[in-house]
Amino acid sequence: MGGSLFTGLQIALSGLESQQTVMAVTSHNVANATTPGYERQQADLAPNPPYTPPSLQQVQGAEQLGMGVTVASIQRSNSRFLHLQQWANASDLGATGQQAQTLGQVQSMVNEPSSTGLNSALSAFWNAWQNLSDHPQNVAARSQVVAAGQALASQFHTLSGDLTSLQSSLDQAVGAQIGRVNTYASQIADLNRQIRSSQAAGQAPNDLLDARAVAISNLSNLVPVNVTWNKDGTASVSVGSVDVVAGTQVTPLVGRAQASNHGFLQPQWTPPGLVAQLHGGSLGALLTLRDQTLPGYLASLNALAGGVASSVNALHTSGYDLNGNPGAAYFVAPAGGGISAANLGVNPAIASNPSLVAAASSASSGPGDGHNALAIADLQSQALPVLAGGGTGTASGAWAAMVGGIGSAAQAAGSAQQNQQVLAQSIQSQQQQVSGVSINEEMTNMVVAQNAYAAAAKVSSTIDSMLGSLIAMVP
Amino acid sequence: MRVSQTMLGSMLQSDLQNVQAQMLQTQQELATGHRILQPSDHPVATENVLQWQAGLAQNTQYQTNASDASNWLSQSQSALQSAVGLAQKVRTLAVGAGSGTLTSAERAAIVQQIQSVQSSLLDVANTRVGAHYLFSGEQTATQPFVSGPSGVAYAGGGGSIVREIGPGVTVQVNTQGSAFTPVFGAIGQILSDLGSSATVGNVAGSDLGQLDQALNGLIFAQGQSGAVSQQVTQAQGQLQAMAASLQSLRASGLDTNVARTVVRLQEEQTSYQSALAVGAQLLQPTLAKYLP
Repeated sequence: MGGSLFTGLQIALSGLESQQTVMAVTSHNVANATTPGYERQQADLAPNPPYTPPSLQQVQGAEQLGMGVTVASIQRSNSRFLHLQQWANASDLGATGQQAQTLGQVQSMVNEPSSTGLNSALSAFWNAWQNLSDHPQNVAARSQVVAAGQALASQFHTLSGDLTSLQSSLDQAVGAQIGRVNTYASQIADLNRQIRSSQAAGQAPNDLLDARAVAISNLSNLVPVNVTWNKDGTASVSVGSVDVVAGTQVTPLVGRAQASNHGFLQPQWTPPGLVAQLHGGSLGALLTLRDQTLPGYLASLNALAGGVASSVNALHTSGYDLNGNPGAAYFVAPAGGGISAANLGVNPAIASNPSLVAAASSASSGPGDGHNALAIADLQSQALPVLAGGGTGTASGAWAAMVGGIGSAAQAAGSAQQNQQVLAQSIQSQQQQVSGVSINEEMTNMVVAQNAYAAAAKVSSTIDSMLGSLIAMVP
Repeated sequence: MRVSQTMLGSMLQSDLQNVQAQMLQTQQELATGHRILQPSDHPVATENVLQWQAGLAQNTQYQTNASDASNWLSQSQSALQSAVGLAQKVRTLAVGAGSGTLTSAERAAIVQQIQSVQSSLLDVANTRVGAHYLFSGEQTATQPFVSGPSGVAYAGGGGSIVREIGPGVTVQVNTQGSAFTPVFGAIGQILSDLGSSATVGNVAGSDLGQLDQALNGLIFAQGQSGAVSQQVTQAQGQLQAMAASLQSLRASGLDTNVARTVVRLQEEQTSYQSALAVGAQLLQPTLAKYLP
C-alpha cells in the first residue's frame, strides 16, 4: 500500500502553493493596512480529501493517506452587527454635524454679545428718543433719531438677509445631497450585481463587500437606512418604507421645486409624487433646518421688527412735529405691504426732513415739548407685541431670548455632534479590533508562511533526491 | 484585544485634536477677555448679558438726562435768586418812596431807579440757556416777557419741560413764567402810583402788600426748584450705584476669570504635552523592523 514517491511531490507542491496564497493574502492585508473600510482577510487552510476516499468496498490498508493542503477560502473578518451600528451612527453624525455647522453660522450672523449687534442698535435707538425728549428743538437731536432708526433698520435687514441667504444655500445643499443619494444608491446596486455574479461563481468577493459597506456608510451619512442581506449576496437598502436599492434596482430621489415653499426643493421618490420622509441624516437635518429652524428665527425677527415699528408708529402718529402738524408713520415698508425685518425703513419724508419727527404731544405747545419723544423712548421698558407667537415682551428681552435660544440650540447640536463622534470612534475601534490590520500579526503570519514554504520546498527536494537514488539503482 | 495600526494612529490624532481645540478656546477667552465668544458657550449667561447691556445703555442715558436736568435747574435757581434780590431792591425803593415826604423830583429819581431794576429783572426773566428761554414753558424759542407801553406782558407758553431720570420717573425742570408775572404787575402798579400825588399813598400800603405777595411767589418757586434739584441729585447717586452693579453683573457673565482660565490653560498644556509624549511612545516600530 501507499502512494508513489510522486504522490509525495504532489503533496509538497500543495504546501508550496498554499503558502504562496497565504503570503499573497498577507501582502494584500499589509498593503491595505490604512485603507478606509478595508477588512482584514485570512486564508483558511484545510487538508485535501484523503486517499482513498472512505467507502464500504475499501481495500484494506494501514490508513488513509493525507493528500496535502488547500486554501479552502479567503475569509473577511467582519461583524454585521458593528456595520449596522456604524451605519446608524453615520446618519446621526451627518445630522448633528449639519445642525452644528448651520447653527454655528447663525450664531456668527447674530453677532452677540457685542457692541455692534442688534442689542446695541436697539439701545442707541431708544436713547436717541430720550435725548430728543431733552432737546426737542435741537436739529442734531432730531437727525440722531433718524440715524439711529436707520441703523436699527439696517441691522434688521442684514440679519434677515443673512438668514434668508443661508436658507437658500441650505436648499442648494439639499439638491446636491439628493444627487449624492442617487450616486451612492447606483454604486450599491452596481456592487450588488458584481457580488451576485462572483458568489454564483463560488468566489468570496471580499473587496467588493468592503466597497459596498463603504458606499452604504456614505449613503447613511445622508439619509438613515435599513439594510437587509439577501441569499444571493446582494443587500437591499431602504429609506423609510421605500427600497432605494432592491438587489440591483435603484429607486432614485428627485428634488421638486415647491412653489408654496419659496421654490425650495422637496425630495420625492421616482416616479415623482411620493414625498420622501427623511428623519435623520444630513439631508434630513438640512430639510429641518431649511423648513423649520430658520423660518422660526426669521419669524421671531420679523415679529420683533414689526412689533417695534408698529408701537413706535402708533405713538408717532399721535404726536406733532416741529411745525405743529400731526406725525406721519415713523417706520414704513418702502415698497408697501406689511413691515418685516427685511423691508423696515425710516419714512423717507422724515429722514430727509428731521423737523417732521413728532416729538411733541400737542400741536400748539411749542418747540420745547418733547413729551411724545419721551413716550416713544419709554417703549423700551414696556411690553410690546414683539413675539412670534403673538405674546408681548420688551424688545431687548425678545432679542435676548432669541439669541439665548439660538445659543442653546447650537450648544445642544455641538454636544450631540461630539457624542456622536465619540460613539463613531468607539464603533470604529471595535471594528478595528475585529477587522483592522495588525502589522505584527501579519509579520508573524508572514514568517510562519515563509518557514512552511521553506519546509515544503525541503520536502520536495528530499523526495527529488530519493527519486534520484531510485533511478541510480537502474544500471 | 487586537490592536491595529489604524487604531493607534486615529486615536492619537483625535485625542490631540480635542486637546488642541480646548486650548484654542481657552486662548481666545484670554485674548478677548470674554468667556462668551458665541452664544452657545453660555446661552443663559448670554441672554442675561444682553439684558444687562441694554440696562446699562438705558442707565447711561438716564444719567445724561439727570445731569441735563440738574444743569437746567441750577440755571433756573440762580435766575430766581437774582430775581428775588431785584424784587427786594424794588421793595426798599418803594418803602422810601412811600414815606410821603419826598419832592416830586426825588420821586422821579426813584421811579427811574425802579425802572432800571425792572429792566434788569426783565433780563433775568428772559434768561436763556443756549437758544432756549428758561421761563417760557414749552415755547422755548419765544421770548417770554416783553416790555410794552402798558407794562411788561407775558408772551411765552405753558406746559412742563420734563426729564426722565429713571424708568418711568420724570421730573419737571422748568419754572413757569407765571412766577414772574405778579412781580412785574406789582412793580407796574408802584410805578403808576408814584406817577401821581393822588395815588402815591398806595405805594407804601396796598402796593407793598401786592409786591410782598409776588415776592413770596418767587421764593416759593425757588424752593420748589431746589426740592427737584435734591431729587435729581439723589437719583444721580442711585443711577451710579445701579450702573456699578449692572457693570459688575455684566462682567461676571461676560468676562474671563483670568486666574481660573490661566490655570485651565496650564492644565490643558500639560495634558497636550503628555498626549504628545505618550503618542510618540505609542507609534513604535513593528515586528517588520526586526525581521531580517
